[in-house]
Amino acid sequence: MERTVEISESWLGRALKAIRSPKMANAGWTLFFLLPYLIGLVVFVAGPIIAAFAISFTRWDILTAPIFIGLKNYQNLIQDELFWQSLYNTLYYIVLIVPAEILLAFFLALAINRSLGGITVYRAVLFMPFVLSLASIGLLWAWLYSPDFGLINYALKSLHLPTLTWLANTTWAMPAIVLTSVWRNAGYYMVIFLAGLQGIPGELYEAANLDGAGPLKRLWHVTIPLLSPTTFFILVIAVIWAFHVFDLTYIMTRGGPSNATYTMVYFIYESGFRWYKMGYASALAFILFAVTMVITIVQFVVQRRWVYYQ
Amino acid sequence: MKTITVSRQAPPTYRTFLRVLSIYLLLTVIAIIFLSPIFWMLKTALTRTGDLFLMPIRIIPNPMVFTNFQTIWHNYPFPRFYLNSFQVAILATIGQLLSCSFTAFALTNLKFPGRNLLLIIILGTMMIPFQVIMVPLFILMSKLGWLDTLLPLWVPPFFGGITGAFGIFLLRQAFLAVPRELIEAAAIDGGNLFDLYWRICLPLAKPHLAVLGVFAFMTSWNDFLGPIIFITHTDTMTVTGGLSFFQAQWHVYWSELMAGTFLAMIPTLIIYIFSQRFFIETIATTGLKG
Repeated sequence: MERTVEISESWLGRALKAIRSPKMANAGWTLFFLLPYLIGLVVFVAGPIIAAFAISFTRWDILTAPIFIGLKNYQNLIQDELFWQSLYNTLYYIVLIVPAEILLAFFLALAINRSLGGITVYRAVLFMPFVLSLASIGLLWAWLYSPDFGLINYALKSLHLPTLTWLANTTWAMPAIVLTSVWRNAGYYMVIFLAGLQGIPGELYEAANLDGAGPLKRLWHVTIPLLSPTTFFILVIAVIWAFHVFDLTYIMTRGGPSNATYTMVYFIYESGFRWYKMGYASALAFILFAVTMVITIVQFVVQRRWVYYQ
Repeated sequence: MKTITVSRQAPPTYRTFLRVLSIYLLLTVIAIIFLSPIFWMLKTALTRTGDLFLMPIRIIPNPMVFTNFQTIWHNYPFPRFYLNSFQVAILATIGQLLSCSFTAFALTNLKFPGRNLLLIIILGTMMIPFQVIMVPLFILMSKLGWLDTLLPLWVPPFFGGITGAFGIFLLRQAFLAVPRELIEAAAIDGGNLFDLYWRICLPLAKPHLAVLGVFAFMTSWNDFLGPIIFITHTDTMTVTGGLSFFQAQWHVYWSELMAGTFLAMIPTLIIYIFSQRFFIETIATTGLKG
C-alpha cells in the first residue's frame, strides 16, 4: 500500500515538473490547437462512417430500436427494381454529362486563353453560374423549360425548330437536367483547363511553328497531350460529382416523370427521410460509395495509357 | 500563354484586326448565351403576373413592376429564411476560419507524433461524400435534440467537419510561407505559441483567410441537402430549402418565384462580383472545392 502511494506521489511530482518544462508545455498547446479538428473527426466524420456501416446491417425506423438483420438490406436492394432504375439513371446522367462538360469547358478555355483587353470579364461571366446555389439554379431552369412560356422553347420557336415539353417528358427530362448542370459547371472546369494551358511551355508551340504545323496540328500534337493531366483531374472530379447528383433532380422533377430522373442520392434521401428506412438508406449509400470508389480506381489504373506526364 | 502580339514578319494588318474582332464576337455571343437564363429570371420577376401569359412573349417587361419582390417579401416567410441563412452562413464561416487555421497551424508549426498520418487522414476526408454519413448525422442530431434548429448546419464547421480539408490545405500553404526568421524571433521574445498563431501567422495569412471565408460562406449559403434533412419547420428554414417549400406547398406564381430566386442569389452574386479574381485564381491553383 505504502509503495503505491510513493509511486503515485513521485509520478505526480514528475508530471508537475514536466508541465513546467517547455516540451510538455508544447504538448499542451498542440492538443489545444488540434482538439477542435480531432473532436470533429470523431463526432462528425469517422464516427458517422462507422455508424453508417453498422446501421446498414439493421432494420431501423428511428422510433424503435434497431434490429440486426445481417445482409438482408443488401439482398433486398438487389431485388429492388427501383434500385436498378436509380443506378441506371445515375450512370445515364454520367455518360451524358461528363463528355459534354469536358468538351465545352475545353472549347471555352481555348477561346478565352488570350491576353486581350477585358478577357477577365468574359472569364468572370462564364464562371458565375458555379457560385449560385443549385436550388436557385434548379428553380430558374424549371421555369426556362416551361413548355409554353419558357426561354428554351421560345428560342427554339424563334429558330423555327420543334418545341418539347422537357421536364414532363420521360425522354427529355434527364437531358434537360444535364444541360442545366453543364451550364453551371462548364465555367469551373474551364478555369482549371486555363490553368493547365498556362503551364504548357511556349517553346513547344514555337518549335511546332518552325516545323510548319498548323493550328489543328498544334492542338492535336502539343495542347491535347500536354493538357492530359489536367483533363484526367477534371474527369475524376466530374464523375464523382455526377454520382452525387441530387439538388437539381429534387427541385426540378422530384425524380419524375415516372422515375426517369430518379437518381441514387434521391433514392437514399427518400429511403431515409421519407420512409424512415435508415438501414436501407445506409446500405444504399455504401453501394453508391463503393461504385464511385471502384470507378475512380479504374480511372487511375487506365490513366497510364493516355495521360502524358512531362 | 498564346498572346496576340504583332510579330516582326507581319505588320498590324487588316487581317489581325479581323481576327481579334472575330474572337471578341465569339466570346460575346457565348457570354450572352450564358447570361440569358439570368436575364430571363429578371425579366419574369419584373413582369406583372397577368402579363406573363400574354402571347407573343415580351422580352422586355412592359410595364416593369416590383410588386413580385414586395409580395415575396411580405406575404411569405422570406425575411425569416433570409435571416436564418445569414445566421448559418456567418457562423459557419467563423467556425471554418477558426478550426481550419487551428489545425493548419498545428500541422505547420508543431511537431507531434502522427503528424503525417493526420495529413493523410485529412486528405482522405475529402473522398467522403456527405450522402454516406447523412443518415448517422441525422440520428446524432435527433438524439441531441437539434432537429428543426439551425445548430446542425453551423456547429460542425467549428470542428472542421467534412468540409474542413479544403480550408486546412489552403491555410497550410499560407503558414508554410511564413519566414522562419519571424517564427524564431517570436520564440526569442518569449511569446507563447498562441501569440505566434495570433500575432504572426494569422496576419500574414490574411489573403488566404479572405478566400477561405468567401468559400465557406458560399458553401454554407448554397447548402441544400443539409437544410431539407435537418429542418422541416418554416421558421427555421434557410433560403435554399425555402425555395423548394414555395414550389411544393403554395401555388406561387412564376413571376413571384423568380423574384424569390433572384433574392436567394443576391448575396452570393455580390460577394462573387467583389472577390471573383481571387476566387477564380484559388480554384485555378488548388482545383478542388471542398
